[in-house]
Amino acid sequence: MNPNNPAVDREQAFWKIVLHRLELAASDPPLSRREAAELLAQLPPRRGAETVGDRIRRATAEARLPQRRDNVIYVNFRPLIAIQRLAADSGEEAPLPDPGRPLESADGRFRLSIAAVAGELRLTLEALGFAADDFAHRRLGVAAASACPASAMEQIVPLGSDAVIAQFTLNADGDGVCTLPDTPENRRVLLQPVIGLIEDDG
Amino acid sequence: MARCTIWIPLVPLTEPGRASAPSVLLEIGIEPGGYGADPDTSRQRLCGYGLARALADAQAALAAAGLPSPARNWTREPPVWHVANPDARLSNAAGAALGLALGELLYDGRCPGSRLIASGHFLPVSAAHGARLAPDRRLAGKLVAARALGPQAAPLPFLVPAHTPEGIAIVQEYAEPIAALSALNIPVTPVASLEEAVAACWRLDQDVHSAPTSKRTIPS
Repeated sequence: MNPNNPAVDREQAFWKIVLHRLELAASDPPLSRREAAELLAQLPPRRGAETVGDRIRRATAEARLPQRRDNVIYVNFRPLIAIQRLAADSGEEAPLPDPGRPLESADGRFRLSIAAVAGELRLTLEALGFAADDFAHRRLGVAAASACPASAMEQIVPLGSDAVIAQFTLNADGDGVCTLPDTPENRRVLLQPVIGLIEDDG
Repeated sequence: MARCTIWIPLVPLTEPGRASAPSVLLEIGIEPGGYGADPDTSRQRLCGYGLARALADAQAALAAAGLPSPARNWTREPPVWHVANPDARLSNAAGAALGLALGELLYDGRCPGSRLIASGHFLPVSAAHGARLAPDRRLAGKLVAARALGPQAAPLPFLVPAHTPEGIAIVQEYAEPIAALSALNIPVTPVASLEEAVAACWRLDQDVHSAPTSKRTIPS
């Protein structure tokens, strides 16, 4: 404000209004009712109190996932956390963890023990602390990090049943055991395993 | 028996072709523990940090190479081992075996110097073949990790297995990162066995100590 010169004030206010209207004219016109209906029809079904923005983000993330193949059974896998492993190993291509050295997730919710026994890998998954109650009697799985992009964490990813190498139904204590063949493919998945929830359809 | 430090490079394990977290250096210190110290207690502490397998491999390699730990006696302070920066993500420590074996030898003075970087795990040890090193599949990340130590005032040897799994010499395969480390005064020294690693340390030490002498002999 310039109290000594009201004419300048009026001029500045006028140009502010002009600029604002020019900016409005440069933006896209709002969606028509028909266009909004077409956009909503493209989106996946709404979940609970999900906002339109969240639905668009979920649809975008799902579109980035690999396309489904026919003749494969899919599971709804909700990745919870990837376990990062460090190794001083220098010899093997896909080394297993040292015996008695379980893998723990960075958030402290899961412990995954791996033991090679007679040509098989015995995996023991433990949900720790409050997670034991949260995941008791629920079905969890282990998949490769490559199958679950980082952007898809906590979102449902349809994975082929072969991509989820191990499935556990946790007991009341939050523990589960699974045995799988000791193959190079399975060992490679265990280099950076992702633990996720397997959800039923519907 | 002074304090010794060894660094073990750790690399993230990921599926081939996937981006990964940066490599890190595990710092292990060995100090005189006083005459009443129990060496087994500190070794058990190492086991708690995920180095149990590497420690067992190192002891076996020392025995196979004819370099077992000296007997405990009143004139020798037992070493106390500790990990300065333990990492809960460490899941496979086989490649730390060379570093731990050299750590024992450094502390006893059977290997010269007080600091080194080492990476390598031993092939199944035997009395006939001694303690040979397995080729390294993940040396590239380890060479990058060593750069974190920065320029060194005195040479800091980095001992690595001599060949890749494909049989290519390390100096040929990783010429560029090895040159970058040399510029930081971290000479990368390829070795085929524990015995060769000890010999290489003596050679490097001799080079360091002979350098000033040779300068003095140059006529002005």
